[in-house]
Amino acid sequence: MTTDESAEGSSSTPSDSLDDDVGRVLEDLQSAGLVGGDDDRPVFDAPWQARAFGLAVTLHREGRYEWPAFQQRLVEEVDAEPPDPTGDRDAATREATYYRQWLTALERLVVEEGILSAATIEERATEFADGTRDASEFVDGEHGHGHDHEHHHDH
Amino acid sequence: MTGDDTNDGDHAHDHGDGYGEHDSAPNDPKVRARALQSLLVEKGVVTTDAVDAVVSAYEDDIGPLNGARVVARAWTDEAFRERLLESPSGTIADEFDFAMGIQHMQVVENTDDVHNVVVCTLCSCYPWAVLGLPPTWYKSPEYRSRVVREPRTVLEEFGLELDDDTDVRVWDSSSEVRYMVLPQRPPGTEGMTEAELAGIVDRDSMIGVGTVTVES
Repeated sequence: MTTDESAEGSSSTPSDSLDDDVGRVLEDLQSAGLVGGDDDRPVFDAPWQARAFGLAVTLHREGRYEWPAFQQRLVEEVDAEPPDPTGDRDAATREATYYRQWLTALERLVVEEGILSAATIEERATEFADGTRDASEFVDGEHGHGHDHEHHHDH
Repeated sequence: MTGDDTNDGDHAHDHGDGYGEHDSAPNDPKVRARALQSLLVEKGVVTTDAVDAVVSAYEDDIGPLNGARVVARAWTDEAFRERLLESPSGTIADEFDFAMGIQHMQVVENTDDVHNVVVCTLCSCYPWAVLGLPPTWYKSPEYRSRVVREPRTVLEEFGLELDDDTDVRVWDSSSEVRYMVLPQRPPGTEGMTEAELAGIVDRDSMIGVGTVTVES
């Protein structure tokens, strides 16, 4: 509920500690009533949700934007399509909606900050959607060890 | 964590990620997330490892286990317990490896005569650093209003029967103060180590809607 960005809970300055940064982000999200996750359910319901979370926090940690800039856009997305007040939708649906809004907010910010263009994102999304491109491609580029078909299931 | 949808190039699998099926729409969030990461990695803005590290910090390092460790230490180390009740933030920061999100904490202790329960009537303030993410019911308007009005009834619904002469105290959290309950150590745990004790402390007991019990 606080608006005091100078408080120690502020996430505007990334630190060397990953846990602290993630903690600050959670603190800020919680102050704004924006924390996802439910009960004893896993925090993320699907890998893409974890990816959306990880990307937004990582870009912030890399100094690409201040956390409040992301959160502002997340608020706008959530306000545009508020959670069902009767709460009768199941938790997985709520979670998916939340991370879809999260992702839209992230995309907007990435474009506004000039990190990527909207057209580039659209083009790449189309390639993944129609199968022109699959996941192994950038995993290879990332690790360069040709282990694209290794499985890293950790659950 | 995100590993399982970055490495499975060709097969659809049980997470419903579905990208291998080539029938997703470009506006599908799975596809959008993938496209974003693909481009950002390609441009060298982020690495997959960095993104995965953030996810595992969120999933593994922040949660009720932290609170359970604090409680277990308070049960086994009297000096720590006193300092914890006196000045929780500093005491936790001194002795544990998590320091974030505990600045505004206060610890309230259950005794034979007093049972404490925590709520946030305004929103859903919660000591996430020690308790993880708040459960759904904690955020519900029902819990928030009823636990103040009729705490005994609400606690009974959680399966907690209190003696009539037990004093029930309800603590209303805010952004200035986040409460955590120090539950009572159950009988029959005298021989347990601190680590074993941490294993029996659950989230509900630290919110105050439950007590710690040992399976016999």
